[in-house]
Amino acid sequence: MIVDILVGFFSAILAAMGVGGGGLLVVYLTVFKNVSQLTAQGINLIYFLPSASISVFSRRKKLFSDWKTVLVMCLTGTAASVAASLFVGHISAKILKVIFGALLVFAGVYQFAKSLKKSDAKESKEEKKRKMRLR
Amino acid sequence: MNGKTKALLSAGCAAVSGAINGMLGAGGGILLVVALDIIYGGENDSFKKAVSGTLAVTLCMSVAAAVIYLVKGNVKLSDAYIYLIPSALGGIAGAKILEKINAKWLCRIFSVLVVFAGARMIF
Repeated sequence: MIVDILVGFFSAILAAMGVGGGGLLVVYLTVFKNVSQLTAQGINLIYFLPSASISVFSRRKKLFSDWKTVLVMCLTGTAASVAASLFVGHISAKILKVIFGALLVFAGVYQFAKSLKKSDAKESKEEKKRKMRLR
Repeated sequence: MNGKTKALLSAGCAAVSGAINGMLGAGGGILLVVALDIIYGGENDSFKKAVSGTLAVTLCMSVAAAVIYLVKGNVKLSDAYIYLIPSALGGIAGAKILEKINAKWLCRIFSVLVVFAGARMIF
């Protein structure tokens, strides 16, 4: 039980940071707790809610400054998600998973390479120039 | 890119992300973070903005998906009880880290976990 709590806690930290933990909880549940894939996904969905809610709430000011875009994204994303799961069903798409998995690996490597170029500065050079001009 | 274009692109990406989530059960959020980072201009603070926006969208999608799972009987609420308090505590800690962490490092942690998630999907 202590392990459950620790795994839940650490994956929730990653979830709140927006990095998702790669479905660590799902892996833990299916591999170590013998939970079925579908139930593990369900538990993952429910457990995600407190963590994500708190994170979104703490970032509410930054999100609120662009609330129309965020709202539209939430609506389109949710509608697409529900439509896909109802009409397409969970295609036992091994091929789809492989293609998507490859896309993720590529995206991860690309993003990592991008991060190597990012500077440590809190502001970008353009921001600094703009502020200098305004003085 | 003006505001309207950004909004339209963001909505489009969110729809694609939602469709992926609906079909595969997971993963849409990752592409949404990458896409939003590009839309917001790849600046130093744009990655955190992308992450926050994605979290908001994923939260909504997860609520809808969780309801469907519960109604269909794929999972019981009691199955998840033990994880709820750790989740809330982890959420508080994670939110604080998100605020303080350097975007560059956040990006790197994200990238590594994305590669891990992708590899798991392939094998």
